[in-house]
Amino acid sequence: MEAQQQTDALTLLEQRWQKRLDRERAARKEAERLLEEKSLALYERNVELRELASNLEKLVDQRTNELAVALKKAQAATLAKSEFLATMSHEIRTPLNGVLGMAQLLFDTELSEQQREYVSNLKNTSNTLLAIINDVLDFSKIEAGKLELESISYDLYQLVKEVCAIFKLQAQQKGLSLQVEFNELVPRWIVGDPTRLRQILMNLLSNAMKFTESGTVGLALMPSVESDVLTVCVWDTGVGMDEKARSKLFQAFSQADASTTCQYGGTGLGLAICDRLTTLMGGRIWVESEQHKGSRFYFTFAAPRGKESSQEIRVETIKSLAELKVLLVEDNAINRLVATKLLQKLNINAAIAVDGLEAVAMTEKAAYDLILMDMQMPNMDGLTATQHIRAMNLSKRPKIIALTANAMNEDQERCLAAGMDDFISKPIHFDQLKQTLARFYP
Amino acid sequence: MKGMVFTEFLEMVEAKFSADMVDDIIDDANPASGGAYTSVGTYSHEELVDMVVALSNRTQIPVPVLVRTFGEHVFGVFARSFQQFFEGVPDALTFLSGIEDIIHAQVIKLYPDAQLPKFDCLREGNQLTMIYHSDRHLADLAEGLIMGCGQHFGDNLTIQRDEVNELSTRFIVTKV
Ligand code: HEM
Repeated sequence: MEAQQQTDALTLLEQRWQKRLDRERAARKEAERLLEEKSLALYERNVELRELASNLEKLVDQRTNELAVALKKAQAATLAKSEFLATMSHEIRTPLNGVLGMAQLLFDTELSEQQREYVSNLKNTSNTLLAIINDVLDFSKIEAGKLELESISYDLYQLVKEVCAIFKLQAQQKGLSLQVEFNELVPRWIVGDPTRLRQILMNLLSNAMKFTESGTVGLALMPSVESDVLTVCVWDTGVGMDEKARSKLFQAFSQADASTTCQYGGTGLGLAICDRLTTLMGGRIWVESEQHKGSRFYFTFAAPRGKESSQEIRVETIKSLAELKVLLVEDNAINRLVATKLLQKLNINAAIAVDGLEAVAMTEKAAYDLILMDMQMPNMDGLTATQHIRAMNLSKRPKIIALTANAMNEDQERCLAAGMDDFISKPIHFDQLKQTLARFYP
Repeated sequence: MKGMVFTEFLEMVEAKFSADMVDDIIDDANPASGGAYTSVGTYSHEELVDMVVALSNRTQIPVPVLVRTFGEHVFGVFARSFQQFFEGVPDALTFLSGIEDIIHAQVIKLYPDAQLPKFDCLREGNQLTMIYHSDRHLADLAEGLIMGCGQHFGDNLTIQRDEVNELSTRFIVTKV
């Protein structure tokens, strides 16, 4: 009986242990199953992710290709547009030069007062048209990446002086004062493209003049924080502009607003050209402006120090002075005779103009290498004539040498400021003439 | 409910009563899952309730007391296995204030399928008001956890508790 009880208790205990064991085993299996489930889920997620990544890659590739194709198309279209513009402008420019030349010739014939006025208008409008076409041509050249900058050593002071001389007259007529400021740290000789720098300066200054009714137009040159970079500021006390106008200013074919075009003229390309040019010159352009207070245009450009070359940078290769096309501008008949004779001794046959007005007209028609310019003359004096000549868009920049009676320093200053290259004091001595010419044409 | 809660509960029963008691209450409750709990599994929280009721029947200890005791016990377990939650926490009230935004916020990252209660907390000096919201009616567990928290930090906490409504219970915990 007791034994039976013991056996029962043992069986019960055994059952209990068996059950506990079963439970633990089940728990372990459950845990393992869960683990496998999780591993599988993890694996599947990984596969999904990998697929997603590869799909994404394919998608990115596809989009990149599409974009590349679109970009190529757009670039081709831009190029075609620029080329078309360039050809068109060129095609227009050629006959327009004919119109201008004819108008000039007509102007020089005997005309009634009214006819003279008509021809003068014809000339002015043709000139405006030419300027516009030149802008378009320049701009399309830049956009097509066809504009190549020169890299020569040139006299920055001289360039600025010449540019300012051109605007001095305009400033005087408008009653504006023109201020030029040269920081002493700015080197005189720099390496770069003088033509393009001149273009930017002319553009900004003519804008400043255009939009300023009273007060001052200024030009300042200073060094930048970066070495070999110069900063230029062209400022005015003119109409200025608001934020909205400022934001689109450097875009092509945009002016402060459409009414600007009516009131002030222009293509709306000038500043876009300046913007592209400064970029090409390793700088940038920006503006600060307040309405009714004026504007300050700043631009920077790479200007490594250049080598000083005596007087002129371009060494002309001419075999003899006889090849030179020279214009002598002198009102006094005796002086004229003397100068002509002296030039002949140097094998130079000079063309003659009797005053500044005639000199300007002749320079418009023929390309001269050298102009000997008297200072005081009736109708138009030498300084003014020089300013006019320097303002012309000549394919070849003539040297202008002043013939001055008094070699005062101030006088020389004014000559250089007007855009002259040198001066010879009167009465002319053969040696001095020879020496001066030898400097330019060694 | 996370299996960890079940395994911890059964371990506590084994420690405080006996291994036989574990067998008995599982037999009594006859859970749908079979009662072979693993900490990484997830089970219906009702199975836990059934086992607590079975334990209460066998021991004659009221259910709320059992659940509170479990809360106290399990906080100690948490404190050991989740030490990162305790770094830089100076006292119990600070720890409790962060239950919603810090502790359970981290818990849900570790166990995305965890069903956590919601606590609204307001700390005013030595007093913390916590309003517990959950449709699992485990306010007793919360109370136990709060007590366990006080013990862990060695802070003497008094807990004043009242029912806001069916789903919400307010605890006013004061440090004395
Ligand atoms: C280190 C500290 C803590 C950790 C790691 C933690 C973790 C957890 C976990 C894993 C659950 C289970 C959720 C599920 O199974 O779905 C849970 C539930 C719960 N926790 Fe916490 N907890 C902590 C502190 C606290 C504290 C201090 C309180 C009380 C103020 C609290 C109150 C609750 C309550 C009441 C539940 C049950 C679920 C419900 O009522 O809806 N916990 N907690």
